[in-house]
Amino acid sequence: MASTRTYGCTAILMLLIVLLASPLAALEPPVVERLVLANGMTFLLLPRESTSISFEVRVKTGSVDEPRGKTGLTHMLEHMMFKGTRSIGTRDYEREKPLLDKMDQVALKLQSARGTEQEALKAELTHLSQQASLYQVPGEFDRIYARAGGVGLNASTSPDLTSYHVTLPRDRLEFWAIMESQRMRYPVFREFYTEREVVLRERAQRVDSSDKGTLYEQFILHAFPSSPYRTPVIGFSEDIERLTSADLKAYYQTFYQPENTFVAIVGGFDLQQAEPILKRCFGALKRGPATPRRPAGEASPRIQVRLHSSSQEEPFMLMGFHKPKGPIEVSACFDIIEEILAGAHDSRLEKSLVNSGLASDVDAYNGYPGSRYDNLFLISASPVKGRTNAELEHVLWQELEKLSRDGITAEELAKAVRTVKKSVLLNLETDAGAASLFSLYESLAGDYGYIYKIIDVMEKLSPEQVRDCARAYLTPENAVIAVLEE
Amino acid sequence: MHAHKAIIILLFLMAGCAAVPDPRTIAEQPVTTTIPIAPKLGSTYTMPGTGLIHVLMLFPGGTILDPRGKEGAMELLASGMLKGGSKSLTPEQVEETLGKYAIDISIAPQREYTLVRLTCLPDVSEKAVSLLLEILTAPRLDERRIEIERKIFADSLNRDEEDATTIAFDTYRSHYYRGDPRAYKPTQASIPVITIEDLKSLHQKVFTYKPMLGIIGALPETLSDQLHEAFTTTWTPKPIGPALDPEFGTFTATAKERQGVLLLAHSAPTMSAPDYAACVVADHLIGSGGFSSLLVKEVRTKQGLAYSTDSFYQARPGWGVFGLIVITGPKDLAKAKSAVDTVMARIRRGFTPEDIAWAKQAVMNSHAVPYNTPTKIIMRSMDLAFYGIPDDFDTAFIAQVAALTPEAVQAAALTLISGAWVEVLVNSETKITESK
Repeated sequence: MASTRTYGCTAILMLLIVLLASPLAALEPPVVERLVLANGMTFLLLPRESTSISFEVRVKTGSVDEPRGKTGLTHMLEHMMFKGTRSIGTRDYEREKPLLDKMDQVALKLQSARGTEQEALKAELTHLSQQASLYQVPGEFDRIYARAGGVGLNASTSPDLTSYHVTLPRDRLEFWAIMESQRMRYPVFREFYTEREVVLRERAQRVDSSDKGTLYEQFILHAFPSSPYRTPVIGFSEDIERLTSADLKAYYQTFYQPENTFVAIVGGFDLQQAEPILKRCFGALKRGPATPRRPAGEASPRIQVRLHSSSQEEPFMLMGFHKPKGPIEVSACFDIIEEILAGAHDSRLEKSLVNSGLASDVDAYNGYPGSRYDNLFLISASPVKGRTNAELEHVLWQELEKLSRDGITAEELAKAVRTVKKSVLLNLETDAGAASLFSLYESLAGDYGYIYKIIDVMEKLSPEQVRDCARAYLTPENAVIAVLEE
Repeated sequence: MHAHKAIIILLFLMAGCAAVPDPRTIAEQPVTTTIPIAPKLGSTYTMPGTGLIHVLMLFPGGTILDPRGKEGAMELLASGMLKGGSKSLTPEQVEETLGKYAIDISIAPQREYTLVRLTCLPDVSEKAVSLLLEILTAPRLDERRIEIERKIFADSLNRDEEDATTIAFDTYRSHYYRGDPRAYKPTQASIPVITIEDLKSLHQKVFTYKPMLGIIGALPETLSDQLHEAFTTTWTPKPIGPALDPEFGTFTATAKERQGVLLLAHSAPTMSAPDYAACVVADHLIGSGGFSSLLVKEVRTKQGLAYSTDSFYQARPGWGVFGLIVITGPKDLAKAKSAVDTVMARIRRGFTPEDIAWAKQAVMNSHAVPYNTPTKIIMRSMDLAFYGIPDDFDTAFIAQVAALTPEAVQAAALTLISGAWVEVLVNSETKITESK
C-alpha cells in the first residue's frame, strides 16, 4: 500500500486561510492531497470548513467502451450499482443467489425462444422474480444513505465516464467509505429485469418522446460513423432489451478496477483520519488486468453532413465541427472561441443572432460529446417565431468566416480568460462543485489541476493562434449540420 | 520484542478488517449540525466568501403582481431591465461592461418576491455595484430591446407547450388556484399586450423598496453603504394565503412531447400547522424519500412503469400543497393510476414503526446538508425573514421531528392523501376511471 503525498494538512489549512484573506490568490489551484493506493485507486482530498462533505467517484468507463450490440451497457450498470450488495438489499443472500442465477439462465433462453416456449419462459421468469423478491429489501442501499443524512445520491453516465456522487453531513467519511467499498467489492445485480424496463422508460422519456432528443441521437450517428462516440449513452432499445445480467458482470469486472477509479472528497473531514480509513476500506480491492480501450476509429471524413427532420416541435439547429481532442493549446483555443462566440455577455453570436431578433437562444460547446477521443465543437441555436434555421445558418457562417479571416482582439481574449477564471472560482464554492471538477480532470487528463494549466496556456495564447484554430477547423467541409424544421 | 509488536499490529489489523462497522449502525447516529444562521449586521446579512463577491437582494413583489390579462409582465420587466440598458448606458454598453469585467447579474421574479444576484471578482466590485444600481434604479427599458425580449419570451412559451411535465403543472395550477393570480400564466395573448408603461409601473412597485441585503465576500464598506442608501421605502412582508376556490376533479391536457404524465395535487397543512413536521416525514415515506419511498418502490422498482416518479409537499405559513407525479408512456397512464391507488391503499394500511423511525432520522440528518455555502445560508435566512419565520425555526423543527410518535406520522400521511384532488392526465391514450 503506497500513497503519494504532495502536501501536508498544515499546508492545506494555511492555503485556505490565504484564500480567504486574499481573493485574487484563489486563482491559484488549491492544494489537494492526492492519495494513490497500491492497487492504483486515486483519492483527491480537500478538507475545509463546511457543514457537509461531498464525494464524487469517477469510473473511467463510458459508452465509448461498449462492444457492438451491447449499447447501453455502461448506463444499465450504473443503474444496477444501486441495487445493493451481498449484505445490503437482501434478507438472506445465500437463498436469494440461486434464484438470481436461475433467472439469468431463463432470460438467456428467452432471447431465442418463440411462441409457447417464450410464454412459458416469461411466466417462469416472473415466478422466479417473485420468489427472489421474498428475500430482497428494495432500495436498502439508498435507504441507508438517506438515514445517514445523504443528499443528492445519484449517478450519471457519459460517453467517457460513469460518475457517482453524494453529499453527507460532515465527518461521515468512514460511513461513505464502508458503503462504497462494499458496493465496489460485492455488488449484486438484483431486480435486473424490472430495472431494464425502467431504462427503456428512461430512453422513451429522454430520446424517443421528443424530436429534439431523436435529432441529437441521429446527429451523433452521422457525425461519428466509426468513432467510439457513435454509441448513444442510453443505448438503442433493441440492445437494451437483450442485455443480460451476465453482460453486466463481465463488463463490471473489466472496467470497475481500482486503477480505473478516481475519487474526490471535499468538505468537513479530518485529513489525518481519512487516509487510514480509505486504505483500510479500499486497499483490499485487487488490482485487475489492464483496462482495454477501443481504438479511435478512422478519421471522420471531411465532408459536410446534413440532416433534416420535420417536427411539430419548435425549430432548432445543431452545427458541429470535427476537431482533435488535443493538444492542450488547441483545447485552450476552442475554450476561448466558445466564450467569444457564445459566452453569457457581449458575445458575437448573442449580438448577431439574439440581440438582432433572429434567434431566441444560441450556445456553443467545446468537446462534444466527450474528450477521450477526437470530438466536435458544437453550436446550437433556435430561431424566434417567424425566422428560419436557414437564416440562422447564414449568419452563423458569416460569423465563422469573420472569425477565420479577421481573428479576435486582444481585449476579447483577455475577457474570455477572465470569464473562465470566474467560472472556476464559482465551481469551487460548493463542496460538490469542487469534487466534481477535480475528479473530472484527474480521471480524464490525469491531473486535477489541468483546469489551471489550461488557463495558463490561455493567458499565453496570441489572438493569431486562436484565429488559426478557427481557420483550420471551423470550415464548411468539416461541418455536421442537423436541423429540426416545423 | 519486535516479533511481539508485529503480532499485536497484525491482530489489530485483522480485527480492523474483520470488524468493519455495519453502515446501518453508523447511519443511525444522529447528526448534530444545524443550518447556520446568517449573521446580520444592521439590516444586512454578511458572510465571508472564498474568492468571489456575491450580493443578494430580496425585493418584495413577484409574478403575483402581474396585471390580469398581462401575465408575464414581471418576467418581461426582469429581462428588460437586464437587457434594456440604463439611464446612462445603452443596452450595448451594459452588455459590454458585463462581458469585459466578467460580471453576472440576474433578476429572478418568484411568486411573491424578486431575487437579484450580483457575482463578480473583487477587483471590479466598484464597477459591478455601480452597474447593478443603475440597472435597478434607473433602467432604460429600451423599446427595441423590449420587443426582442418579448419575442424570446413568447418563444419560450411555445417550448413550454412541448414539455408534458410543464403542461401538467400549469393545468393543475389553473384549476387549484381558480380565481386567484396564481392560476394565471403568461400566454401568447398576454405577452403582446404588456406595454412599456406597465413595465415602468411594475418597476416602481417593486424596485423602490429597500431590499433585504446579503453580502458574501470582502465588499468595501463604501459600496455596501451605496447599496443601502439607494433604496429608501421600508416594507412589511404580506405573504399570500391558501387557494381561495380550488376546482377539484380530473382534467386532461396534451403536450407535443410524446410522454404521459399523471399528476395529483391538493391542499395540505401549512408550515404553521401543528402537524407540519409530521407531514414532512410522511411525505418522505410516501414519495420524497427516493428509492425507499412507497411510490418509487411500487411504480419504478416493482412495476418498472416509470423512470421519474415523486411526491412533493410544499408549505409556507399561509399555504400548503401536497402532490404526486408519475411520468410514463401515454398508453401506460391507466397502469400508473392503478399503481398510485395501490400506494394510497398501502398508506391507509399504515407504515411500520421501523419505516417511520427511518424517515424521521433521514429528515433530521439531512436537514442542514444542502445549506453548505454562504449564498445558500443567506438565501435561506432571507426566505425565513420574508415569511416572518423566526431564526430558530430549524432547531425547533428538528426537535419536533425527534418527538414525533408513529401515530402522529401516520395521521399526517392520511391527512396528506385525504380529500378531493386536482388530477391531471397529459397525453392520455385511454379513458381513466374516476379514482375512489
